Amino acid sequence: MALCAEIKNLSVSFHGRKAVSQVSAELPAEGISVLLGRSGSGKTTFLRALNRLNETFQGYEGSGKVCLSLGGKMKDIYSADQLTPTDLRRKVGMVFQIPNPLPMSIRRNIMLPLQLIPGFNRSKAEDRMETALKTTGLWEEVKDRLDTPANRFSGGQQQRLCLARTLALEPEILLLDEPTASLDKKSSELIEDYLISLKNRYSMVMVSHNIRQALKLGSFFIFLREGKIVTAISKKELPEGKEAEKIMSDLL
Amino acid sequence: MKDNKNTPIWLKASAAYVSSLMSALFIFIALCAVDGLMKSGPSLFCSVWDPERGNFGILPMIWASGLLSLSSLITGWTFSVGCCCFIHGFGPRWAARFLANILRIMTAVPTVVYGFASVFLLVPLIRNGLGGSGFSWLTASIVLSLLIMPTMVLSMDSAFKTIEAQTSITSAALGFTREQNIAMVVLPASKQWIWSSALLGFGRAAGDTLIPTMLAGNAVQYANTPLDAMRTLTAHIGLVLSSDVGGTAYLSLFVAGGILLFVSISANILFRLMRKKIWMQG
Repeated sequence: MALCAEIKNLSVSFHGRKAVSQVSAELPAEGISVLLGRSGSGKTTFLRALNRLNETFQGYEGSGKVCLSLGGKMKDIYSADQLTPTDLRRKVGMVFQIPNPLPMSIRRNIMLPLQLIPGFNRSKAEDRMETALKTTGLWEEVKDRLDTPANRFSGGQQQRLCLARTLALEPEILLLDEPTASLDKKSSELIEDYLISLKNRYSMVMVSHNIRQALKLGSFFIFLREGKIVTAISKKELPEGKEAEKIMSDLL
Repeated sequence: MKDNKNTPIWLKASAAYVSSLMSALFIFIALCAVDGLMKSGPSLFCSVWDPERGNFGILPMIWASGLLSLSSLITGWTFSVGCCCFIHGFGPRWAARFLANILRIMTAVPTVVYGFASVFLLVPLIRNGLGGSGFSWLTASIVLSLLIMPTMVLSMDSAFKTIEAQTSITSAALGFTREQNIAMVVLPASKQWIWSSALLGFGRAAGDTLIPTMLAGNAVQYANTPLDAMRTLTAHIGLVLSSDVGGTAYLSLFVAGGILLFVSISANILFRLMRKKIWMQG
């Protein structure tokens, strides 16, 4: 089985309080891996260890090893000679729980991250913006309003913008932190559909506390409790239908 | 404001007290200024201050007030924006904390201390280094810009803090460094706060009396080079009042006061309008 991530003895604490302790896991490159657990189980910290976002918070301390499959090779993302955190975060894109457009126009939200890549030219950035907005079905809705502040749009549109903004950077791995948790049912389903359509192009790791969504999107499940992995199962090992849901909620 | 029956009587009384006091002040100054205008008339707007011969020119003072407050504002504001950027990511963490604490302490230093220290430290430096008496536009402007900095920095800082808290994780996840986030995201987003803090600083600079009185030399003239002495409207009022004057000279001071009041109220109203606009957008 090809892997997108290999985590060994990962421990992360903030101000001396353990968020994740001694976690080891292997995530498949195919499909969406879903991290499940109650609030405070360490799923978000686990996810943020994959793009080194934890270290932007105060009081961070971490140990262990995380290797990601980038550019066809497994790379130790915490070793100094491989990648800088900023390069890494462009290759490992992230979508957050609450839509978080930057306080600027739609166009600038997508173009600015591209313009900060050294040696990136502007006309190429315009193309990438259009492609990314088309991929998330937003192009037709916003093409005449690209210079409108992003926060004027609905929550669902904003979240699709955030997804498009991440895709425009052409990442290799997508990290999704409960991407539909703050949206209504219809917008959630729309996002879910786009994620399904993207899962053959990117390795994805998603945090969720919604079992139905996890079963719909995911193919590999990791259950966390109090900063430790309880169990990891792939979808093939689960029975069909209602029974799978019951097994999953027992594990939660 | 809604009328609330449960408002305690003492609260109503103090509100009435303050507002009547303020309106009395405005009416008093306006009436006296009109009286002053009638009596001294056109001689107010000439360049000679010689009350005994009936010349009450306050134009040099208006010129000085404008020049000093604007020059202090430009330097003070520029440094304030710089300080804010330094505190939020361009400086090392310990230095940023140090600077923020110094600025906070500066708000607590009485103005007279700035004036006093400058008379003994800055004035000789300028006298020996650049010439003149040392009591000059330049001296007053340097100290005044320092004096108004903390207010501006703290006002910008609160905007920076809010916006940085909202955007720092997002932009980190998009591959921005902290400096890039400040320069490309936080700075443009707090544009209106940065401008409105300039108005706040201007109000303080135009209204300050002690620094120009102690450091600007107080000569009634049009200062053309930074080393010339000048007398601002505020210093003028303070100086003339502290000597024994009466009659028309006394009334002419109210015209000066009225002009100051008008300018600072305009700055204040503009500041409030900008804040309101920010809230509506937010």
